[in-house]
Amino acid sequence: MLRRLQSFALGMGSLALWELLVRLLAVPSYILPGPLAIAGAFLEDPSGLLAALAATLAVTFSALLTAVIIGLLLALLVSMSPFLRALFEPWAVALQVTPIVAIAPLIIIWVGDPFLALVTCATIVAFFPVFSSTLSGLAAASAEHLDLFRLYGARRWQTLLWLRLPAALPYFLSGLRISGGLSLVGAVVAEFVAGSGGFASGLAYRLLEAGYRLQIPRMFACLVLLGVAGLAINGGLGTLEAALARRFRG
Amino acid sequence: MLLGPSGCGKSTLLRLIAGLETADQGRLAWSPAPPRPGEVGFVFQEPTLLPWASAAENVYLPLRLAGVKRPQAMGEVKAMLAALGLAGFEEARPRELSGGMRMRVSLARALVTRPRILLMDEPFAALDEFTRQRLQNDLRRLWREEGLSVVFVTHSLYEAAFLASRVVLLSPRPGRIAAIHAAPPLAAEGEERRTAEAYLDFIRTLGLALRALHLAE
Repeated sequence: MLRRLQSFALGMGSLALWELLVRLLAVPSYILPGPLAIAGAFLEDPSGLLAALAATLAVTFSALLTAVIIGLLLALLVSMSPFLRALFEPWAVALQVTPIVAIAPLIIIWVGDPFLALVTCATIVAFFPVFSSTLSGLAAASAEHLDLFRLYGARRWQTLLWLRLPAALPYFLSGLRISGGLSLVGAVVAEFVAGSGGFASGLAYRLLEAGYRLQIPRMFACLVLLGVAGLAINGGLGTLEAALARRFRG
Repeated sequence: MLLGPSGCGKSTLLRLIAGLETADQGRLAWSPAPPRPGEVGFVFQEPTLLPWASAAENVYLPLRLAGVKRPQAMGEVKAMLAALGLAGFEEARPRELSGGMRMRVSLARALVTRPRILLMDEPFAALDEFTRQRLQNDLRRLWREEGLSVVFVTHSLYEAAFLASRVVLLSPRPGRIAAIHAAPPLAAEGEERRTAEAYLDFIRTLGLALRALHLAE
C-alpha cells in the first residue's frame, strides 16, 4: 500500500514538474503541451476519443482471441510430429519477422471488410509469442514424468491432456501476456496503415487526424489513452499469469 | 537390493526391468509372464509428483491411466495414503508437503496398482537421515505386511544392510554381478534392528566385499 502511495505521489510530482517547466520555459503547446492542456484536449471530446478507444480495443481483443486460438492449435499440431514442425515453423517465423506495415496494405486489399482486415493484421503480430511459448511448454514436461506415464502405458492423448498441457500452461501464460501487448501494437499499426487509406474509426486514426491538424494536445491525449490501455492489458494478463503459474509450477 | 558404485548400471538395470529402456543384447526372462502396465511400480530418485495436482490426484494417476473411474478409485487412493501416514493430506499440493511426505506420496502412487514388483531407484538418497530412517522402517513394514517384491537400488551399505533380504553386489564398468549376499535372519525392526549385532556384522561383510571389488578393479 505504501509503495503504491509512493509511486502515485511520484507520478503526480513528475506531472506537476512537467506542467511547471512547460509554463516557466513558455514552450508552445504545439511543440509540447503540459498535462493540463492534454487533459483539456481529452475533455473537449471525451465521447469521440473513448469511442475511438473502444474501436481499437475491439480490434485488439478480437485479434488476441484469434491469436490465442491459432497459436494454441498450431503449437499442438506442430508438437505432434517433426514433419509438421518443419512444414509450419518457417512460415510462422517468416510471418513474425516481416514488418506488419509492409504486409498490411496487401491484407487490407485482400480482406474486404475493414474490421476483419485490422484483426487479421493484429493477429499476425500477436500470435507468435503464444505459439512459440506454448510449443516450448509442450516440450517442457520432465523426462521423469514422461517415464512415469510410459510406465503405466499411457496413451498419447492421456499424456497430452494430463501431463503436457498442464506443464505447458505457465509457458502459454507468459506468451499470452506478451501477445496481449502486441495485439494492441498490431491494432494501432494496422489502423495507421488503414487510416491513411481513408478507413476511420480507431484511436490511431484520431491520432493521425490530430497530427494533420496540428492539434498536438489531442495527439497526446490519444497517446495517453493508448498507454493506459496497454498498461491495463499487461497488468490484467500479468495478474492472471501470476495466479495460475503458481498453481501449476508447484 | 542392488548395491554398487556410481556408474555401474544399477539404474539402467532397473529401467530395463521396468521396460523404460530396451536392451542392446540379451533378454529379460519373466516368470510366469512379462508384467502388464500397473504390475510394475516404480519409485524414482525424485518424488516426480505432478505439481498442479493434489496428493490424492497424484496417487490416483496410475489408476486413471488404466481407465479406473474416480469414484471407484478414491477409496483405494485414500487407504494407500493412510497406510503411508498421510491421512488428512489428501488435498495438499506437493509444494505444501515436506520432502519426506512427497516421497511417501510417490510410494503410495507406486503401490496403488498393487504391483507384482516394486522398483526403487535410490528413492531416499535426497532425504535427511532422520526422514530416511523413518521411511526405511515404513518400507520394511509395508514389505512384510503387503508381501511386496522389491528391487531396490542404492549405493549405501547401511541402507542395503537394513532393508535387504538379499544384496546383489554389482561391479563397476562393465556392470556385472560380483556377488550375492543373503542377509542374516533378524526379526528385529526399527531402532533395535539398527543396533543389532547381526546387522552391524552384515554391514561389515558388505563393506569388505565392496572394498575387494575396488581393489580388483
